[in-house]
Amino acid sequence: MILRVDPSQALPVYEQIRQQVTRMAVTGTLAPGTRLPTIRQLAADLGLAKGTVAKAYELLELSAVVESKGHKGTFVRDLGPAPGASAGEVADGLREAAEAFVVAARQLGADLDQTHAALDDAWRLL
Amino acid sequence: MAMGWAIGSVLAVVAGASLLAGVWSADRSERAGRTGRWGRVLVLRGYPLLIVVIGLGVLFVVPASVVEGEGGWSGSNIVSVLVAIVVTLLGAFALFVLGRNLAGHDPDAGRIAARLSGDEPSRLLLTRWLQRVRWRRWLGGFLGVLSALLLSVDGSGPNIVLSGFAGIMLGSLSAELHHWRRPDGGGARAADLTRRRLSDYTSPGEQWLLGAAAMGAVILAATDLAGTTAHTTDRGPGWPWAGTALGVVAGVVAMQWRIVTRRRPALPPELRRADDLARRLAVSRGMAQPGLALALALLAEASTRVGLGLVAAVCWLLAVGVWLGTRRLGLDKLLSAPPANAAPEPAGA
Repeated sequence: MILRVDPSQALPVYEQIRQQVTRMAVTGTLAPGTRLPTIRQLAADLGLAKGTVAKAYELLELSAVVESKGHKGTFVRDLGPAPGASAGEVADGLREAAEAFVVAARQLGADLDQTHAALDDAWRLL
Repeated sequence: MAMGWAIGSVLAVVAGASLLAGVWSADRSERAGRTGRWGRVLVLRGYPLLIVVIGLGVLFVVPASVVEGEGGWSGSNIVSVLVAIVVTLLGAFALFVLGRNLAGHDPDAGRIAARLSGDEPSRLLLTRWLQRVRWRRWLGGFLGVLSALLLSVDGSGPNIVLSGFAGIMLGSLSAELHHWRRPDGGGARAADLTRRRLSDYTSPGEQWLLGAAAMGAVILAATDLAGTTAHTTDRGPGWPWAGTALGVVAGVVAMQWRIVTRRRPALPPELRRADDLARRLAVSRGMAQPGLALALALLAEASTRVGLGLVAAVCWLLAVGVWLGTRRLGLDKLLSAPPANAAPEPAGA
């Protein structure tokens, strides 16, 4: 499961983390009981301050998406039957993301082949 | 006597030139991205060669001293001159090897990495790690032994083996410290949400041995401080050595955790496997084993000071045994192992 944050966005980084983890937990991509990485590990991996990740975890716990079990770690809660994302929701989300990607590619002057290649590379990487 | 000075001067010049040639040669091989057969032979045969040089040196010094005792250098002792030439050449050869090592050249790194990993980026990652760690360990051990030798001139210096182990440990440590640099700021970044644990990268046996060494250190320090053991010599108390051993174990475990949780952005699967393997090697062969060797050597020193000779002997044997297993990160045997895809999968991958 990949988490991606962009500090240059207007949305605070801890909120980006909270939203993405919530989305994955709600859709069942993150199964109930999954143990999240430690604050130190995720902060190091994303190059963030520990406090930023700690705040995201705190918000996730407050919204009952995850639960902390002390030294054992932080686990994804059972949010009931995972509805998964419906086909329509997936299609809408992908369309929105693709439009943003294509706009950026055209602004950079990339052609369709280059854009496809970039998409393939990102798919393999992430 | 004049002949002795002349030979000494020639040896010094040859030694200096050999060291420079070794450094230059290693640098050239690195730049060219290739390692020739001679490069491998030079480094692989380096240590046995040094033993040969020392042996021949003894053979040379003994007859020479006899000749000097009988009236000085006559210049007609052909055997001595021949031996001197052979020793000079072999010494130059050994110093050439030393120079290559000092330059950080590890001709086996590429071959070992090729057997541990499949694709090119993974091989590059492992090769870099192997070269960095192995030469720093070598340099650390060399400096440790050299320091002990220099401090032992008056016969009261530190234990050479212990000092060497400490140097190796510091070398291993320094090879991992560069990861403490903060990543470049700005820009989007991605990471995997998979949790990494220390147990994914180390064996229970190693951690158990580290725990046992720590327990031994506590017991030794406690018994020494409680005065329940007899001080056999005037070498001082044993508890500072036991305490240092405990500190070494604690430092090793802390560093192991550092290595496990240090930064890893989202990576393609092949590179992630190579990164896992590098971490596993760093945690186990880079930290646990040299740390264990050093802790055991410290415990041996502590045991000697509190009059537990048998315990000291066992600790020394164990320490040397652990060191032998990790002498070159223990990877040399992999040169004859099945390549790449047969490499064991890290538990955390």
